[in-house]
Amino acid sequence: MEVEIAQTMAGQDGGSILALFMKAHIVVKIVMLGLIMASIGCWAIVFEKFVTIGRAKRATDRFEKQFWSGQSLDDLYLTLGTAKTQAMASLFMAAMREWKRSQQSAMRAGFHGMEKRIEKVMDVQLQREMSVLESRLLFLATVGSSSPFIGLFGTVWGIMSSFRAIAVSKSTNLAVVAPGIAEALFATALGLLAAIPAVIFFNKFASDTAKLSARLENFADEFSAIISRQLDERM
Amino acid sequence: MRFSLIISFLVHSAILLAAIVVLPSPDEFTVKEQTPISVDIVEIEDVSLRRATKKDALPVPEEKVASPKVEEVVKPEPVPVPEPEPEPVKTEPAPPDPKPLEELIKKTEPLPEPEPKTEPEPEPKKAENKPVPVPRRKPRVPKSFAEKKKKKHKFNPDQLTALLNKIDEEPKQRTDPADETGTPATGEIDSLIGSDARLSASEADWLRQKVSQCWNPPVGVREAATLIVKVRFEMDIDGTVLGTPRVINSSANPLFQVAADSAVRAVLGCQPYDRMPPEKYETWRDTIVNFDPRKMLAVN
Repeated sequence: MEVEIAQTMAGQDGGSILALFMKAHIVVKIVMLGLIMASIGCWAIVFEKFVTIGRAKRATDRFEKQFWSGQSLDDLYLTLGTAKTQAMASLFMAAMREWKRSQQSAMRAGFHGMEKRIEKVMDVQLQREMSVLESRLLFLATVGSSSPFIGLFGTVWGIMSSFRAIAVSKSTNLAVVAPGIAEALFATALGLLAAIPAVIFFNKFASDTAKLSARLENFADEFSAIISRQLDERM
Repeated sequence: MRFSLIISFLVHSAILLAAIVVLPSPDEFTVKEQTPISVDIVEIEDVSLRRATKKDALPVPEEKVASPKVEEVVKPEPVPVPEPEPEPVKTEPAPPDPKPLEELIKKTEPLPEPEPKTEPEPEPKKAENKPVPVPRRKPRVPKSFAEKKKKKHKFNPDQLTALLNKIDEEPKQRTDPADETGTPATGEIDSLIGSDARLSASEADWLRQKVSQCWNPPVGVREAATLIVKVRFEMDIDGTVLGTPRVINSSANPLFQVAADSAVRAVLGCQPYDRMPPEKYETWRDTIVNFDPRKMLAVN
């Protein structure tokens, strides 16, 4: 008797994902929704980072080509001045701006302070650029490490409810237990679904930004070396 | 950021939609129509052919009729003839077997006609070689029964199985008129007298086994035959012993009190006997258990 009732119940709902979600306990629903949101956020960040880091890389490549092409720095400054600068170019622009600004004072106070100021300015600009590139990457890391646990929480909850279903119906029939376990496992699946890309892309973007930041730092050092050489030649 | 968020949201909803719409709900398991297997719950006594009662015992009537004859015929034999030795030897080792009895019965028929003195030599052969006249007089059942007995006896020579399968010896025991006294001939540790026709052998066996688990019989006593203790006790319907078990026999053996105490301890120590069928409560409410240390000594 009990068996038949349980079977018809299972037959009504079917096993589609929507039914699985609708049947779930409210806590499991919240967990699932949260995980879906996390996944959406993760992928949004992934898309965004993909674009920004790629753009920064391309701009850096382009600027490096221009910079080492033998063009005079003033010419480069003038050509870049109109456009919005990216990454390495922005370092260069910050340094050149500071250079131009301190031309007057350098006559009076000497070039030593100016050299230092240019280094500082480039440092600050580098931090600014990197913070833009690295922004929200931590969200990926957080999702990657915590969403499996959140999914596990949903699973535990769902299995708890399915055990309660056993207790209530006093039947260990598979039809009584299976929906709860299915929804519970669905929560874990969502957790993993959010976590796996998050971890993969976090690692990828972390290494990309680290490489880019190394390049920018090298450029800053090189550029400050060039500037100090030029200043020494002037004296 | 907003752009990529929108893209991400759209992709997610597309995937979810695809999962809901495109992915079909899993096929239901098509379970074959199973032919229902009807299960009856059967009392063990309906199945068990063995009864711990004093009824039944297929060859009983014949033996009863025959046994006095046997004794009459056999007894004279040992006195005059030098050959009597094989005969008592033959009868004694297998007292539980009805077969020797039957053989003796067979013997009794031919014996009066020829002279008993010439007979004894072919006797053993005769018993086996003479199935031809036997079927005429006897139903086949006892014979096969007896053969089985014989086989079993060969198969289980050790005393332990003899102790455990006391049922096998019961038919023989039943033939004895003097059961109440618990003479050595019964070869039984403990019989349930309180039970009558209803209690099946399995339940009696179970009780026997349970009690014997708790029983530390006096070991290595002389004259163990005088240490048979009969304990009578009443049980509640849940199998607990009501009141104190009483020892209903007595003996001159100075160790009897020790044996009696150990028997009472065994009965009290193993309660509750909760597997006794409550619907037959009347049959086992008042139970007598015989404790016979000789068998236990044989085991130990």
